[in-house]
Amino acid sequence: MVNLETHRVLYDDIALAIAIIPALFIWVTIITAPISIYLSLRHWKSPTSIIPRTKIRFIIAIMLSVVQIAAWFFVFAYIYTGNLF
Amino acid sequence: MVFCVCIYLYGEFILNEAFTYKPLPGKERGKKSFFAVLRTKASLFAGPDHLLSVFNSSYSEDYRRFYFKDIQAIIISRTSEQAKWNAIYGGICLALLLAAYMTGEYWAAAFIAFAAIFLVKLALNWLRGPTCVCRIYTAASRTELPSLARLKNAIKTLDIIKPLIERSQGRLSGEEIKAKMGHVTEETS
Repeated sequence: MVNLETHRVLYDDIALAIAIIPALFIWVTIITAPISIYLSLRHWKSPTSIIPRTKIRFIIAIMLSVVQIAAWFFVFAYIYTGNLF
Repeated sequence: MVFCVCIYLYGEFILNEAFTYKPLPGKERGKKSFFAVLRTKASLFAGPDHLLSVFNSSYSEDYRRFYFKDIQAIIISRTSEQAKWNAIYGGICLALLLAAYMTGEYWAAAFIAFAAIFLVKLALNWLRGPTCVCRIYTAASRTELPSLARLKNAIKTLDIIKPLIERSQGRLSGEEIKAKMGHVTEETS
């Protein structure tokens, strides 16, 4: 079948950018980390680029976002309990 | 966890090996619009029966296909872009070095650091070789391929795609080319 698509959105790049760029501003990650995970899972099977590409960007985005969420969890745990564990 | 990711990526790699698009030399900034200049990248891929020109603007891609059977000509023209940018980078570098020489010790380091950046850009521009414009002609269009903005990449790409086009369109012998060229000159005169 001939593929005649002329435009594709790169959701993996978007998810990765949402996981990395807000990390520079730290506070924003509380909102962007879950968004990045949502985008990665929502568009896991969406077509990305026509040219050869792996899902490594989605995987890195999810990993970074999980780390950010875990960091926030520890921050809130420290604020409310006074110790981390 | 890391082991699972490695296994998954290996699977992806094997799948992609079977994929039909092969990257061709050359990756340059595509000048789609003034605001996209800094982030639009153009590249070229060879498919089973066509060339795929890709414009990547970070979060989306635009594609253009040129079927091997439709390509009438690929014309490469040398340009003076390399010399122009060499002059610009060299001029800025010299101006910054001059400023470093004229100012005091404190500012000199900053000027020299900036001059070094432009010196690196100058060296890279020089090493990447002469620039060119590559246009692809079909019956319906004449399109510039921004990914082939360096002469050596354009020649390498042409060497790769020439057999693919010949396989699709057939090959003319020397006599046939002369006969056809003679026919064209008769028509134009």
